[in-house]
Amino acid sequence: MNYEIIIKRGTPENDKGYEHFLIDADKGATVLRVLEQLNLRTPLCTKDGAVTEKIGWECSCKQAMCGACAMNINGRPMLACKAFLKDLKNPIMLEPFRKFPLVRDLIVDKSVLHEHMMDMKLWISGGQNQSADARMASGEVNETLYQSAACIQCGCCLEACPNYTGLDRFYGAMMMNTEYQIINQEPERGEAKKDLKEAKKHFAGGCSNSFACEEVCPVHVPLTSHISKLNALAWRIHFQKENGGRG
Amino acid sequence: MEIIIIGSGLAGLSAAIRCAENSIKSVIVSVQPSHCAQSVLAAGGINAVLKDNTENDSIMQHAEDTWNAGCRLADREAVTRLTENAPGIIDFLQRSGVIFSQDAKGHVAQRYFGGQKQKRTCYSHAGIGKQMMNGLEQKVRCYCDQGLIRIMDHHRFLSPVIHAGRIQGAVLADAYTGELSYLEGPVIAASGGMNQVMGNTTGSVHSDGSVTASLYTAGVKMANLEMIQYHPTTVRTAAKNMLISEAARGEGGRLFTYRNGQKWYFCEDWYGEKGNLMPRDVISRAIDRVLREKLSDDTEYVWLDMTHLGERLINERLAEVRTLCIDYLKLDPVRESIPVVPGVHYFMGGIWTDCNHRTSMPGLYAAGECCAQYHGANRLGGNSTLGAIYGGQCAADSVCSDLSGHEMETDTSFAEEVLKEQQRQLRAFELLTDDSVSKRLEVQYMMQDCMGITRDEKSLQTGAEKLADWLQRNAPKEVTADQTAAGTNLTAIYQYQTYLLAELGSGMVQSALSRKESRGAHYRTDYPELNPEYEKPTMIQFSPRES
Repeated sequence: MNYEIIIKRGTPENDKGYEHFLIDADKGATVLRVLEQLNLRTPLCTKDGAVTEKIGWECSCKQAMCGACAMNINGRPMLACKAFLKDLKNPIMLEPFRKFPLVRDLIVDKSVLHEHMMDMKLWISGGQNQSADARMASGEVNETLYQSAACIQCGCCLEACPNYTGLDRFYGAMMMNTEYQIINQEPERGEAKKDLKEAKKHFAGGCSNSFACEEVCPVHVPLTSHISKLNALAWRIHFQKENGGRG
Repeated sequence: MEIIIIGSGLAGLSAAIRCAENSIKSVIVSVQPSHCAQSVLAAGGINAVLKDNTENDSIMQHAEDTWNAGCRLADREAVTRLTENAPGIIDFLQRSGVIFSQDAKGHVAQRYFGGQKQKRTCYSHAGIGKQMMNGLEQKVRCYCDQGLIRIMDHHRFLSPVIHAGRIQGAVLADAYTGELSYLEGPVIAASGGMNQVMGNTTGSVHSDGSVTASLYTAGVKMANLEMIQYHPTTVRTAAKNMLISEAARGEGGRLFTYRNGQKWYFCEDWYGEKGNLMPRDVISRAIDRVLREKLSDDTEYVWLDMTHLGERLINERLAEVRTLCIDYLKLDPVRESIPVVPGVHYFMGGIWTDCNHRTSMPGLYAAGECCAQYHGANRLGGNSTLGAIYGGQCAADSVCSDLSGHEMETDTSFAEEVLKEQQRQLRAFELLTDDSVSKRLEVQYMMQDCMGITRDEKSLQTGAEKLADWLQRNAPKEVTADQTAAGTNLTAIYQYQTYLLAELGSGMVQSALSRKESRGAHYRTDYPELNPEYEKPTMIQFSPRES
């Protein structure tokens, strides 16, 4: 079947606008496959016959496990490797994420995610005084922690979020999900006033419950459930402290 | 000065963490951030004999199984150390926040895997890699906070800086801009397998083999390059061959094919009741034989049946396998069998190291899939993740001990010269035409043609000749001052690395030609027997071709 692919091109210094390409592709193919096929063309020409540079885009695993190929596809944050042509309206519009600094074409720099995790000190201390087994959560909690750690850090949740801008104190669903995991793995950490303050600073009042994050998550992390559990925990600790330790 | 770690997968992170534990600073260089590393794809698990399980199993048995599956080609002492350290690594992972699946008592659960008679593989549903990386990334962040680890994403290793007979640094290129830079310090290569030499593997496109290729052409010794693991159960999709984890068979999945319309469980028929859990090389050859000798009605694939396992078990332990089948094959393994074929999955060979992960060149260490250690001629499922983490630790300990007491002498005065020389090399590739992607595909097709599950002198010889011809035709052109660059640095880097990959591929074929026997993953139809004379690693060192 014939598809028209419209791609936002350029760099921050040199915006080249949208380029149109035509491709005959199997409707069972993914957007990733289309990008591979286009870049095989030598020279690569637009629909109008103009010669253009190869398309800049990123991928690594090609099977929805690494998040590298996340982009806006027909306006929705998706993984190119998991976006099948048959599920998309033709023409298909590919644009880079808007909430991360643009590098080139469909490539954005997501290093801010690491910076946010550093800023919030998102790691457990891995206490040496306890047996490793004793650190294992009970079966049911273990299951939700597993789901939380399955986040592939693609950034779709942040791109879709009506409140996350990448520029202010609100760090969004991905960090809340990670904080939820870490506080549960190391409960004593959650009790620490400093951590609670950090969580409030970056999360409280930021979310407007659109649930867009969970809607677009390509690996189906139950984000809203984890966020509400994190909120519940934070407030429980807050009230405990207000009551002088009485829960 | 920092230790330069190339690669941000399990081996790289493990090495950085161990350097930090030794209070030595390191920098992790990778093209993409660690959450995009191939390690996140690891599905099955990690092997260790845990103390609760010593009634039925022993560390010695784990070592024996590893060594025997590798057809006695691995360094026995290294394998023993690996297995002795495995339980401690599980403890370390738990403390790092890795979430393992649990048994009824709340301990780390273990399951069957191929080539092992005991339940020895610790797992986390069917997504151990992601979970382990999540834990190690936490540790890395903690040490970044202390100033002991620095992260350098979107940078590509181009070449080692060799001075006075040792590696003293690395030339890197910014993957966004192509700009070159220079880092000073000893290097730990933790850059994964050689996926882009073969193309269409189950791994990541970024574990491309370019680091190994660059080190090979710089004169670093390689071992067992002919040992390529074809995983028995991959599924063909338009984008790549995707892995169906061995866990599917570990939990009871059965391979079969149709013969005259009847189901034929050929592995059980040929190897007995536990036939589906024979080592990977054996199963892959069995499937290859079924298809090549037309023993079944289907000629393209065989079937993996999990339907008898039931929806509950599949959801509990193999959910990721089910999701993959539903998303990419549009079939539900709870109700239907999966069409599978063997596919390139792992490179047992690579950079030669001693059992402390030192390479043949001072100042260079290697760990993880890029090095030839632990797995010999065939790797057991659940041992790659273990080998990567343990190898990273050993490499870090070696580099730290080599540094201890005396600050390594470094000489940065030649850095500028090195960068200039690298840029000159790249310019020679800028002048080549822009069909860079197809050029790399040409190399991969030549490699696939001659380095299949079965090989013989004639096809290997033909492959070697074709590669030599390709290398000659695509050799970089001498640049004169008045010629201006045709492409950007990024295209030139791609072409330059493709050329190095072809050299490495040529080394692989030479290695395969020189092993005139069949052992593990290397099966020669013209030498089908194991020959004790070849019970040693195939060593190869690059010699520049005459122009």
